[in-house]
Formats: sequence, C-alpha cells, structure tokens
Amino acid sequence: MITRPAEWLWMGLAVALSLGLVRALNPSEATYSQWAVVLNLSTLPAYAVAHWFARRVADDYPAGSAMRLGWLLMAASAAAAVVRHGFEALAVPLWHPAWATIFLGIRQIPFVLSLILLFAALAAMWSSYASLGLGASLRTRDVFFFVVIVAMVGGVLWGRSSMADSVSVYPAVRYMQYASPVLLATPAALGVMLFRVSREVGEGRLATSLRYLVLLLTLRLLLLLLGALPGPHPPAISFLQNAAGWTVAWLFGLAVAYRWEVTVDAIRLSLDYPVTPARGAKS
Amino acid sequence: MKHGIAHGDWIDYLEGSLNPVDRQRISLHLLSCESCLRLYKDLSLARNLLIPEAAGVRESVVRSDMEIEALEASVIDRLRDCSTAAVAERLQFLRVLLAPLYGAGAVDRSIHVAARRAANREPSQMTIKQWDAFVANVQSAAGTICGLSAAQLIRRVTAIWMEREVA
Repeated sequence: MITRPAEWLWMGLAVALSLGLVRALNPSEATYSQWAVVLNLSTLPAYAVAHWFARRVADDYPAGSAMRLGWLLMAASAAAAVVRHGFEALAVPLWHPAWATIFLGIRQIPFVLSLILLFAALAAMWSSYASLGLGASLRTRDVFFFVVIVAMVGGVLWGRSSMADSVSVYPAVRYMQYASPVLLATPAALGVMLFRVSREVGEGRLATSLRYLVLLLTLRLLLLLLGALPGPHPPAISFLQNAAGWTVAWLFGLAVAYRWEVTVDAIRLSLDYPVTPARGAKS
Repeated sequence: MKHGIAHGDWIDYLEGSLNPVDRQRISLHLLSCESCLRLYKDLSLARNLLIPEAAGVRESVVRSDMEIEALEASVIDRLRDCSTAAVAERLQFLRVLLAPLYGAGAVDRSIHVAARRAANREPSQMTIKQWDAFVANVQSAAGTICGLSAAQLIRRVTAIWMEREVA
C-alpha cells in the first residue's frame, strides 16, 4: 500500500512546473501543438491518482453519508478530467484550423461535467462540516473573497471572445464555454467556505488537504481570467499562466493524497491499540 | 495480571510493602509503559481519596444519622470530582492523539457535539457514568467528518480504558 503518495505527487508537480517554465521561455506558436500534447499528457497521471485516492477516501466514510458522496463525486470529477485531457492529447495532433473549431470543442463536455461534479462534491463535503458547526458562518474576510470571485467572473465574461472555444461552430460548445466562468466560480465560492472550515479545524493534516483544494479552485479561476485577457500577454502573465496551468492538476492530486494520508495514519495509530478478546470469550 | 504485574503487587507497591526486587521491577516498568503509569496514577488517586475518609470512620465508629449522611455526601462529592477529573484526563488524551491528524478545532467540535448529545452538558462537566454514551456519539461525530478510521481509532483507545475499569 502506498502510504506517502504526496511525496511522489510533489515530484510530479516539480517536473510539471519545470516543463511549464521551459514553455514560458519558449513561447513559439510553431510548437504550440507539441506543447499542448505534453501539457495534457502530463496532467493525466495527476488526475488519475486523484481519482484513485478519492475513491479510497470515500470508502473510509459510512455508506449513505454526505462526505462519502462528496468524495465519490470528487473521484468522478477527476475521472471526467482524465477523459477531457486524454481527448485533448489525442485531438491536438490533428490540429488544423478547420478541425480545431469543429472537433476540439467537444472537450467542453467533459470539462463542464467535471466542474459540475466538483461543485456537487464540495457542496456535499461542506454540508458535512456544517452539520457539526464548522464553516457554518461567514466572516467579513469571506465576504471580501466572494466579491473578488464575482469581480473575476465579470472580468472573464467581459473577455469571453478571447476564449478558445468561443468561435466553435456548435452553439452548445459556445454556451458551455460561456458558462465555464460561472461553473468555475461556484466551486471557488464553496472553496471560500472550505477555507473557513480549514481555519476552524485548526492545523492538522485535514486542514492541509482542504487548503490545497482551495488553492486549486482559486488558481483555476485565475487561469481562466488570464486566458480571457486580450493578447499578446506580457511575459509576467505568460509566466504565471504557464506555472499555474501546468501545476494545477497536481495540486488536485496533492489535496486528495493528503486527505488519504490522514486515513492511513489513523489506521496505523489504531494498530498501536490492539483489541483484546472479550473476557470469557472462547478462543 | 497485565505486563507481569499482579493486582496484589500493585496494592503492595502503593502501600510500600513490596519486596525490593519487585519494587524496582515495577518502577523501571513505569518509566516505559504509559498505560501502567496511568493505572498507577489512578490507583494512587483513589487510595489518597479513601485514606482520609477511612481515618475519619476509624476515629469515631459511632456517628449520628446526620453525621453519617454528611460523611456520605462528602464521599460522593469527592468521587464525583474524581470522576470529572478522570473524564478530563481522557478527553485530553483524545485531543493530543487526534489533533495532529484532524486539527484541534475539529476534535474539540466533535467532543463538544458528542458531550451535548450524550449528556446535554459541556465536556468538562461530564462524569464517568456518561462516558459510554459520549464515546458512541464522539465516534459518530468524528466519523461524519474524519471517516470510519477515526471512529475506529477512538473505539480502540476507549476500549482500553473500559478494559482497565473492568479489571
């Protein structure tokens, strides 16, 4: 059994970040397709690992509980992300202006599905914490974060014509692309509540997992905002875009892996307290 | 007998009447065994509580009904204090054990909710009698946000205390 997956995921994140920075230093359009394939392929193991560990974490909760549902939805969201990036990795080599607008836009289906599942997962998780009074009330700082999220959505919608699939021949693909800011903002808003939970929970490993999740949600929304900015982008933004874009999937994996490590440590601690047979029980 | 120390050995050890070899053996064992150290502390506490009461009874066997009632009330009060202290010690142990994993806030919240459900009072006011109901509730509360592994860990730790009480 892998007990410390986060260490491996940190290595994956370091490799992905290095690739992202190399790409940022070589922003040639001529190699766009090749880099897109590498980017999509590099995210696949991160989402696959997140899917596997999310299912293991779900198994640690009682059947029918909101938290179990939340982690199963999280696993499904990671699976949808695998489908999306796998599809892109296969489709991008066929890159041609005509193909791009017709064929590649289909990626919006697993992308939107992944976001909806992620939102449902976070809602289920938050409801569990709130049932014990954790993250159930808002502070002034939380309201500020909500305002920032709404402002970011406004910024993305303002620059939506710059989005990759906004010129798709399929109206459904265009609408899904236009909906993505809202679909990314709603999990980010729930992320604010989960950040509140992480503050109230304290400094344990559970809080670490929640904070990585919140960082992931914030970065994804920021990435969408940067992508919607009219080009050409200044080098600093391009650098940030590449650094965040290549690592965001690994942050997802880390958030799930840290939560799994909590379960592993609890099981290991349990074994330090052996159960003795009941008195009078026949051996 | 646990860890090679018989019940009678514990009594002799507390009374100071144990032979030097066994006395040294137990003293060395207490340096390395946390569960026996806790047992020793509990036994010492109970003994220290009983000695003054026993002395009072010895001084005057013949007591009026009112005096006997006052004496009973005094013993019950002391036992209640002892019970609350024992619960506080156990809660503190749970906090120390679980906080690095789930966070002090989550542990305190689970304990608070469980104490409310089990005894309708604050955790610090709970007594040993309410402990079983509390354990069932804290397992449920911890299981809700931390998972079944957390509930199992709590069950195993608390089972050791139960076993000690039965012994």
